[in-house]
Amino acid sequence: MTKPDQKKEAFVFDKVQHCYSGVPALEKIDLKINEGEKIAIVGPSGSGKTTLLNMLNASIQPTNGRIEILGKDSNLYSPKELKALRSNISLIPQNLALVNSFRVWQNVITGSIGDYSFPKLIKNLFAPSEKKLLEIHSILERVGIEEKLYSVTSTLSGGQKQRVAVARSIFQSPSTILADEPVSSVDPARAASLVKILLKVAEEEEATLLMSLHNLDLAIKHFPRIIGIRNGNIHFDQSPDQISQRQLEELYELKESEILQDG
Amino acid sequence: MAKKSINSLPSTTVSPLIGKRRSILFWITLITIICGFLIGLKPDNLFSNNSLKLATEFFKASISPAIDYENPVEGTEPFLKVVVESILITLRFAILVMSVSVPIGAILAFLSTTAWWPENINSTTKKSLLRTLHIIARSWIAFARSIHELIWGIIFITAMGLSTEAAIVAVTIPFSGILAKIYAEIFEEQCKETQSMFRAIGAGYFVSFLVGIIPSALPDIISYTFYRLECALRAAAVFGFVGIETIGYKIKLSSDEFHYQEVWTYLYALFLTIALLEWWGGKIRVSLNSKHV
Amino acid sequence: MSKENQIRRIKELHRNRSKSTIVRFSLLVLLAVIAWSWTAKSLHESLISKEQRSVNLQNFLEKIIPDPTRESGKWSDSLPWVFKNLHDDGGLIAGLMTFGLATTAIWISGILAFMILPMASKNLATHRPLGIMVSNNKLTNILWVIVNRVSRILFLFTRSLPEYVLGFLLLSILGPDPWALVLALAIHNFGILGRLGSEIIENNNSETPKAFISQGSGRFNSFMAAMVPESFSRMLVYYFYRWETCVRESTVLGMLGIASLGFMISEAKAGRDFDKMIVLILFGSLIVILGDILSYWVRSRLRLDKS
Repeated sequence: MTKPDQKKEAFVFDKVQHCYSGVPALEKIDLKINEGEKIAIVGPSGSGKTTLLNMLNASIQPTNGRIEILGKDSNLYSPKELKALRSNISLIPQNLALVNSFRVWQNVITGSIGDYSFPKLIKNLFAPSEKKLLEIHSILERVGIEEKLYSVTSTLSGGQKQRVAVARSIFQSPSTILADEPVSSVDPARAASLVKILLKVAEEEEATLLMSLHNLDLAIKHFPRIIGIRNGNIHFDQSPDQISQRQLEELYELKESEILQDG
Repeated sequence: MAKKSINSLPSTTVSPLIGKRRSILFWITLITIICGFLIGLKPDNLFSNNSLKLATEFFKASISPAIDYENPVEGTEPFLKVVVESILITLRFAILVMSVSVPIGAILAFLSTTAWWPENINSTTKKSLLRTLHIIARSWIAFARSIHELIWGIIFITAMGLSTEAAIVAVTIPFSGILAKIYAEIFEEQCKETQSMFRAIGAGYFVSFLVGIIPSALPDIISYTFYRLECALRAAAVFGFVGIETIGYKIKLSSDEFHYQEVWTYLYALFLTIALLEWWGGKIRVSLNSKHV
Repeated sequence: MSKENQIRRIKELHRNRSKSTIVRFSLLVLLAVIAWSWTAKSLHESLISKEQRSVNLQNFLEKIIPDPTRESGKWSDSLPWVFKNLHDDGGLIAGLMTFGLATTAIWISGILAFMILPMASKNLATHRPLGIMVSNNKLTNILWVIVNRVSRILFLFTRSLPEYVLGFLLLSILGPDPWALVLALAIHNFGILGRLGSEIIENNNSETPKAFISQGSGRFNSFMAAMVPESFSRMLVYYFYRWETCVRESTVLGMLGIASLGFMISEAKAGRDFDKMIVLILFGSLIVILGDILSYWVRSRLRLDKS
């Protein structure tokens, strides 16, 4: 997949609505995301952040409206094109989705799983070329866990596992990185360090970065553009210095009934 | 007044739970007692004089298992050598059964589970093909499992005559079915997130299943396979009763001559083999949970 | 880092990687044993020639077609014949017998295993139950170790004896009485239920039993008041799972000589009534599937209960 140079817009949402069995999760979303942008998506649980992210690699199609991904309607992608598109979009889910019994280098290799045929995957997982190993080692050096190349993933600490997931993303050499609340289960120090490293990687790889976050302070401190979502609607879409205190308070305001329902 | 309100309050929170457990146990026990009557179990029969005498003799023999024939005949092989040989034959039978059952069971499990299926299949022919395969595999597994290996053995032995091959095929049919059922259950219990992440970055569904599910399922699968190997050892022993020369055959011969001390030696030998297997399986389980495959 | 240095570093990391010797060793042993099993000399010299075998097979295949169909050529004629076999000749009663044997046996093994359970669980049968020190007396420590070992060995030993072999031995001791088959099933399943039960108890990480013991309760009281209620459904799930396998097993135990399904199958075989034999086998398979469905239903109800 080549990046079209003249086109600057990576994703365009046009009145996008999505329903899960009749219940709307996203309503009338209009959004433009340019290539290379770094965006934090904030909002309470169940507001539609995950649905939004899943639309970006066409895992979920809109019920109404249309999404343009790299200048093409997401509905018009053929299965082959879709595969090529997805192998260019990397994903870091909340639980990191690492294969715990693999060694670190094997986990990094699975970043390119979308490009490999079955025999090629087996070859790479069990007998990688020296070139591949060198590449993986360099990536691990970049994320700071070079000495863990041959460690078994399940023996690593939470922070180290996050680095492995980032390394896997880098190995995929994606044009877009989607991170779905990757820091919600770690302590504040590790959360900040992961956000910083992902921003750095996105900068170096010239990739678009979209990260959904619970933590507002992190978003405001590190991201140039923040999208707040509430009840399936875009509540604000601004740079951090333009967001008013009132908007932030409204975003997380819950009715008493909603709080009780959640628990 | 105050007493009444205290009484009425906890009844909604505590009593139903205890009551439910009690009623489950009550019903199970009642049904069991009825069943005992129906099949003609009488407590007296268990403690009749004749059976007590034989039982004492039998259990007395457990303290002093034989190390030589109780009634030696010239020219036969030494007893302990026969014990070891019969264990080896039993073990070999079990290994042969398992080395065929595991691959067949794995293939059947793959066909019978929906864990690797694409979420939305567009082509209807592909969909109906998958469905058909799925139903055929499931039905075969249910059928193969529902007939005991010994009955499969009787069918094959009547059809082809007594041979070890027939016995191995007979055990393989239900064992591969049971393995397939459990393997499929293990696949379906695994966390799906890694698999769906691989799909989301463009991997095919087969590859996603292979890398996203199998590695995390492996410890449970190995653990269960070890248990099945143990069952295969027991099945091999049972096949001694239809004429395959495993340890069961020797137990039958010794018991027919009332050589209970010899019987106990064979039982202890079987126990030690299974204990060794259990110990080995435990070691592997521990190292799989902490280290690399 | 230059490329040469990097390669050297990768090699160094590779040399120092953690290796699991037991898994490697086991794999080697397993491969060796499988190779030996397939290549060693034949287990059993077949006395039957190939020609005789094909004659046997032909004979068998002819005879499994039901009698009435063989005569008239119509399958529908066989239905009354199947009914006669199952109803008049006692096939249905034999089927009920199968369920009865399994139900009684599993109850006995369940009760016995439950009584040994606290003594076989590693976390209870120690001088520090659930990690809380209750006695520092050397003698009691040793006593607990012995109690634990003995009950574990008891479970393992009873588990290692196949039901069929036990049934055979018990029949020769007790004479032809259903007790022999019930006890055979009960002894083997006692071992299995004991093992599964102690796994449940050992995996119980709840704080309640711990709190009880640290408040001065004894380990048995804590077991009955906190651990059993918490894992009651799981224990019952295993109970029904073993009941299901007991049903399967008791279809064959009759072959040893007690009037039940297995007995009728071996009689039909001895009389060379292969058509009748197949009908009885299929009936047995139906019973087992019925048992599976029943147990599956109960277990799924119990799982719902838990959550």
